[in-house]
Amino acid sequence: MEDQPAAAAAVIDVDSKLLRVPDHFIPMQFRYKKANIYIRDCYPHYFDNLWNDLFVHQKDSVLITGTPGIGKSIFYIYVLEMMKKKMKGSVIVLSSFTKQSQVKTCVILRPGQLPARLAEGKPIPYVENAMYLYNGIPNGVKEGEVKTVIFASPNHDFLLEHSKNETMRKYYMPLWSEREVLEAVELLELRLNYDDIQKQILRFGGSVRYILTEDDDFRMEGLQNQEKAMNSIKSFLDLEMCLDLKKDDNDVIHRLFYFVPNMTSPNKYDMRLGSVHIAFAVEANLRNADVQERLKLFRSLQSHGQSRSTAGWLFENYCHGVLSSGINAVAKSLTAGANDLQLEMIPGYHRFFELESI
Amino acid sequence: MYSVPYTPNLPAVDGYFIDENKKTVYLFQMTISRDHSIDLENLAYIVKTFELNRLGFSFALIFVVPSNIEKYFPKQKITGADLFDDLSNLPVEQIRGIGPKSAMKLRSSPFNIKSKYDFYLAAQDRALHNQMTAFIPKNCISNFVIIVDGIKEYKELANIPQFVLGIKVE
Repeated sequence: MEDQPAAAAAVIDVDSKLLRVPDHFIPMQFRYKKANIYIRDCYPHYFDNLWNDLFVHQKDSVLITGTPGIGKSIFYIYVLEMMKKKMKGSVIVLSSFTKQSQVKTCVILRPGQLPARLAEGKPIPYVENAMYLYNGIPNGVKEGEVKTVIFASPNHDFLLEHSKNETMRKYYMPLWSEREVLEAVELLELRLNYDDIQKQILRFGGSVRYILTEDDDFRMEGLQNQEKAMNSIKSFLDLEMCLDLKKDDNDVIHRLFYFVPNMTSPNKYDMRLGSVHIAFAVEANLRNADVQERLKLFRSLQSHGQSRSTAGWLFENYCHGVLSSGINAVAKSLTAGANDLQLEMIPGYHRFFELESI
Repeated sequence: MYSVPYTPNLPAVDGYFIDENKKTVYLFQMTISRDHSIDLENLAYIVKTFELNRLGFSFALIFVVPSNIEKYFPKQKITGADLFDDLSNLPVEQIRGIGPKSAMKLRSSPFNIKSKYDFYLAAQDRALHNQMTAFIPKNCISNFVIIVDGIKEYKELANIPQFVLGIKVE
């Protein structure tokens, strides 16, 4: 049992960009230690969506997923606080899970009572009309008169298991924009400087776990894992297996490819190489690979209309090769009445950067 | 020689080629989408940073696309084309790298900077510039000045002639 103030004591100011983390214990896969969370622009929209799904469209559960390290667990804190506000008088059950889907910790918030922490090894109880908020992939979802929201990284088996589950709605969370990163650093008063942040964005893209940390060793660990994942891509077939989520190691896929939700349907996504650094490194690994294999993968992605960002990247690098080999061709004018352009380019190539400098 | 600039956070052009005979700078943008607008700020930044301006040379923007969409590829929108005229109406917090707290400081005394234009002027003032660097990264100030100077200097970029080049992928 946690002897902390009741859940209702938490302060929410949804109009500001910061939300105070409640004083009581929150079961999480990885503990969040700051006093505040930064409210991303997408949070209110995603909350409205999940609320409508659960209470208007009567879905039983919602899965909030997306690229590891984008802060799904932070959004879990936001949702918790919003649920407390909107579901006064209801029981909220919070639970975190290990990678093997075992219950790590579970806390039950009953109105007007202190949060109750479940003893280790005890199963999560069924509480009618309760809201279950899960951090991590659970070993099962309660059936009956309850609602569940799961916050977890994409797990191939779990997604497959629920691919035909009409009662579960899935959402992919967006990657962070540079503006959000800089704003969060400023508002959370993180000891990070502008130039370093820019450098980390090039390395980690819109996944901020290793960008918004003040722990250099932790960041180094992230870089080493990324390096290992990049080195495992040696052919276009490796790339294709990642895009088809068939690469044996889920971590390799998630460290290289990020999920970009479709703006109009955030339950659909596009997969793209996560950062400038990753894209350059993977391209360097594939520089000597058969160009026909590149085009084959490009055409396959094009015809299926999937992974458009990756298709664009494959095409761009193919074009660099074509243009640097020299070209004599006509570029058609896009302005009515203007002349076409006869392009005559001699072979040669200059790049203003090297991978090592990034 | 065909060159690939390094501007990872400012996507505008993927490559360029300076044709000395035709006195033209070709700016290449690869895309597989039929809709690919170009940001004038980014274009100006590239031209300024990579010193692509040559006396008497003109610019041409070439979209490189898979040949199957070449026929249907339309003229693209250049966004922010009226940017310079609008600078005094655009809030200072829209400048890359300036967060809400910094913007609040800029808005107050002694800066009284409210718009992007105010910020541009302040950046030219040595005393104000030095005071701003106490809480605004130097790179953020210098990059903004480069962009505005670029837009002022290369007004023709807003109406840059556009072309499309189809590349076979079969």
